[in-house]
Amino acid sequence: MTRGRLAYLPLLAIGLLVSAPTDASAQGRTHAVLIVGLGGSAEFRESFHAEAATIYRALIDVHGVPAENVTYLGEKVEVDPDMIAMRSTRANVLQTFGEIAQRATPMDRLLVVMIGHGTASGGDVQFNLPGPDLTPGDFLEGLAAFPTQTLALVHTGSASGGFVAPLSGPNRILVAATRTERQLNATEFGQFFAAARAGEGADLDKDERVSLLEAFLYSRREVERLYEDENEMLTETAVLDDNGDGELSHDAGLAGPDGPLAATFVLGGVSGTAGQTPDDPELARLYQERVEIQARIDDVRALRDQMDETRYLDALEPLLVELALKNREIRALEGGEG
Amino acid sequence: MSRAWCRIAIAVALVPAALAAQDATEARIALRSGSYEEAIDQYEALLRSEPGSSSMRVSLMTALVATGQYDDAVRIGRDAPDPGAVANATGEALLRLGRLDEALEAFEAAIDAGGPWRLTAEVNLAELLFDRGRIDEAMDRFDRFIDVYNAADGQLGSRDLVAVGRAVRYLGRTEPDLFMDALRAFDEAARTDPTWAEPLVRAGELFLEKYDSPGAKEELEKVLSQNPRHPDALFVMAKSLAFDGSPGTAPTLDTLLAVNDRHVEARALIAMRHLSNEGWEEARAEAEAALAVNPNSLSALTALTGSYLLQNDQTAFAETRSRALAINPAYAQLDIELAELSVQTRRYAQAVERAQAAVALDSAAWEGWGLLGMNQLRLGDIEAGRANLERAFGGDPYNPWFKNNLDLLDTFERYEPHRTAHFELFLHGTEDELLANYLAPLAEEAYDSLSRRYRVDPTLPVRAELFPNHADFSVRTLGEAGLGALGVSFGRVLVMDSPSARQVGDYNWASVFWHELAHTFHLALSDNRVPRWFSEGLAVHEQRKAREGWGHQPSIQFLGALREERLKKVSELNDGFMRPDYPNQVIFSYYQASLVFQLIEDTYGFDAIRNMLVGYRDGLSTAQLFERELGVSVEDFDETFDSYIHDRFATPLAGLVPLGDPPGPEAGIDDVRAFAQAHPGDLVARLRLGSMLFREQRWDAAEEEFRAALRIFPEYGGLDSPYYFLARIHRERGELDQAQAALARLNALSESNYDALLLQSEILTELGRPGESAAALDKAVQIWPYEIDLHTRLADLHAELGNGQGEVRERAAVVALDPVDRAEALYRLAKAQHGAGDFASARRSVMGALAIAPNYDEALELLLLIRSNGS
Repeated sequence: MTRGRLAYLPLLAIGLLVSAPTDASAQGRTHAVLIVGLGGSAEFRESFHAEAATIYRALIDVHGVPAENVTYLGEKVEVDPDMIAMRSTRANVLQTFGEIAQRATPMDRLLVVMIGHGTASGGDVQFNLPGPDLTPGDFLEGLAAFPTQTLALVHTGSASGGFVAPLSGPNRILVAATRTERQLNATEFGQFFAAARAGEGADLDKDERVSLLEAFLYSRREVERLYEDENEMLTETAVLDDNGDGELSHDAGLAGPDGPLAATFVLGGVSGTAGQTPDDPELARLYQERVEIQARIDDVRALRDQMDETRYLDALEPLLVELALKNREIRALEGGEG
Repeated sequence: MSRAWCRIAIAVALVPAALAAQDATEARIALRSGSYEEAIDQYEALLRSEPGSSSMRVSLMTALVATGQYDDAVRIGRDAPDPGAVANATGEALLRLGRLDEALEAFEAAIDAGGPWRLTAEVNLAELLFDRGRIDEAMDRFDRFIDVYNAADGQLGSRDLVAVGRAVRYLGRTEPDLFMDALRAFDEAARTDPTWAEPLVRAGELFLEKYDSPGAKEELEKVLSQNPRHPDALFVMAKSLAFDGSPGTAPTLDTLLAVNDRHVEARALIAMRHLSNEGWEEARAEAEAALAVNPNSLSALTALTGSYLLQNDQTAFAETRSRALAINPAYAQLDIELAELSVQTRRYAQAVERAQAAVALDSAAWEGWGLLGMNQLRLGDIEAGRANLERAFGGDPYNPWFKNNLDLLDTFERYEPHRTAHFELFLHGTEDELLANYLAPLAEEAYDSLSRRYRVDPTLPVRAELFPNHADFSVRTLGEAGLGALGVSFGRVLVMDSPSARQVGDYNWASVFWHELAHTFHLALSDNRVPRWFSEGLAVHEQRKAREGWGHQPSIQFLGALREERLKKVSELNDGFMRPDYPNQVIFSYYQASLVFQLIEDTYGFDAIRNMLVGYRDGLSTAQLFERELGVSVEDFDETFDSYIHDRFATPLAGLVPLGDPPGPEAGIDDVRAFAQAHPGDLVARLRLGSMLFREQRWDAAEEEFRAALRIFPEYGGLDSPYYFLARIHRERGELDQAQAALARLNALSESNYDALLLQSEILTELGRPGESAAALDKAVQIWPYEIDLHTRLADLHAELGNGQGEVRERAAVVALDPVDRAEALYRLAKAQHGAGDFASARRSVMGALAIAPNYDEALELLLLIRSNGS
């Protein structure tokens, strides 16, 4: 065998941007809105609610988003009144956006996840809700109240690419389960996105956080694997746009053009030791030293393209050893195993 | 004379003329409708009254030639008051008799005489020169026809347009675009005279020459609908059907010979068909019969030469080939056809030799270049093969096989070679890391086993190509898509579908590989002379010896064919593969042939089989080898084997005897039960009832039926085998040991039941038997290696068993399958490699994980551990 194996290149530099500790308060708060549309059948209603519930619980329990900042709008409130705040009518969706806009600070972030069926006819794309359907125009209207905030919209349903494309703009991350509005079959993307949010195998760079880019890559790959395993033609092509050019990319990654902003969209602040600032000065020193090591690792990784594999790994390894030893020191001081 | 008498005299004089015109019309109708005997009688009568009529004389000669009365046709031509006026027809009749010099003189005379057949004589002469190897001279003559056509400015008649088309067709040899002009000329001729068959026959021939058999048949059917006895149309139709591999070929040739049993080309074609079925003596008889009519028939000489070549009679081969080349020193077609015959009989090196000889005779023999290229590819000489295919395609861009192969070769850059001690594994870049993991050790195991058994070393390295696209595998094998096989061996090169080319459960790739490698040894030991049935049956036998459950197994359909005596006798088993009576007979023949070798090895030992392979190499026939090695005639062995197979399957055969009318497909359980109770030995009834009860979850009753079915047919391991249902029933009841036992029995009878293996593994894990559970999953990988979960489970089992190598292999498979969480997969692989003591690989893997995820704590710890071990 003659080839080297760094096929994961698009993910390499995810660590580049997120390995540095982030201050939750510097990012602002996260407001999440889950919109579950009309199921049309008992089977879809159940699966849509299951996905929404998974994401809802993950946002609060795993990512630490305050419960009051997570709003679930569903087809029928009585399905789970503890979780579902209101019926997912067009009016309620717009009202929710308005309420959030009023309390959001300039650095806050808005995450909207749409779970349901999309349709398209005569050039118009809709998301099916009880009552009047939601259109991209409705979103433009609703999101106009968030001029400075980072917005992430994830549409997991059919025809979603056509829905999100008109919403492209600065500071906006758009994820869709289908490339265009012409992919009208029911999608599988949502279940994997929900699993990714719940932390099941989507933390690809092992930094104990799952960015939106990681969730997208995980979901996209699992969808493709599902269709391969069932020997079916792929009828949904997940895409992402986060550079405001309106072009949705299937091969998003940190190399761009789409992916860098999504890589920084990590929910609910940080977890693990990476972003904490301890009170113990000795520990704080060790943490700072670790940050510096991580920065040097990022510097080497930034030069990956300029080195052959052997030189690259030879340059990286001592830094990784240093990082590993620093982690041991930290654990020893924290009372864990060294 | 009175005016009345004058009128009577005039009327009397006019009546014969009118009658004559009517007779001529009727004669013409008879000729064109294929009533040749009637046409002959009528034209003979007409000529007695009008001996000077050249057109009627030519028509008579045409009818005589159509029915094989060539000598009479020549005589009629020579007896003409103006021989020159009919010299072209005389020449055509002389050609049929192989009197080539006389024919040439006749065509020259016809040209000198001028008249309506002059252009036809011109093209006949040019063709004759071409067929005598005077190619440049012939091509100059053909070239002049373009000026003839252009100068005529659309005023050429049908006969002359056909002559133009014929000439331009030859010019296509160096200017392929001109084939379209040839076709245009034939079409124009057909429009000019819609009642004349010749343009349509010529067009059909041209379509077939350019590989368009549907186009050819369309033209020929227009002719045959008007004249079902048209010999030339029948002949080209037979060739079209042979091209398609249609069973209609033989009946069409029979029809043709019924019209003209001295049709030399037909007999030569029959001879060639005998050769491809390894019927050497029958082929020789047909060729000799053709040569008795036309001793200079190049096609008959080709068939005769082929019979000597395939029987390894080098002296007779050289002599007969020389006879052909004495007639036409540039006759590349002989070696081209022998190259094709060599391919059909799996002698690929010989095919290369013949193709090289063909292009040495004629550098514009594009088919020769293509055969050379394709067979070089089959022998693993990829670069030379590609170069020659490109040359061939440049000269004949109509050939789909050349194009398909060249397109396939363009994809080879996406494949990765993996070398082992005896193999070059050629695997697609998307799956090479995964498959090499499993295929490399299996290949070496198979090689070791087979080389010890056969005591021969094939040409090394053996090149094994696995294609993830079935169409590519088919093109690699045949040059076109549509092959139904899973694998093919050319000797040094074996090609097969990758498991990813099929659906899960379709087949067992490891078993197929072993089968194809066995062929490699058979071909090596017999110098490619082993008959098809022998090698196929022996290869299936080798599969069964390699692993329990591998290879073809008895099915209910097979037993049905046995009971109804629809299997071939052993002495005719080659026909079961080459000329099956019905499609399934091929599959049945595989299993049946394998039982032949089971019987031979059990009775006489394996050396008898090995010696037979050597005997084929030495030119002995199957009959001779049975006598020599087994001490019995093939006919006696037929009886012995028949007894053997009936004894072996006596009970299930009895279970298939129809004892009544079973309930229809819509019948309910009660009706089916009533029938089964009335016929307790009816295998199908018990299976059917069992399935119905199973679907209703009536476990006890279903179990009773399945056990009864197994008492009748205990070897049944098909997809609906009772063993699988029993396993499910036992599982439902929590009877895990019995469930496992049923699955073990099933998996010993079936090589590709993926679900059964997964279920068996699951149950064995529950029973706390990890080693056996892992063994079941190892077998499952040989059916479908693409499930990450399977490899993860298997890796965990190997870890539990302390099997470091096994765990490493499975963790590597997970990485190769490109999981979403690649960092974790690499970490786990690194851990396994470290545990197995492979620190260098562990370091590479953990660095791979950390390159993705530098903050991966566990991986960082592992890196420290690996470094402390001094990697």
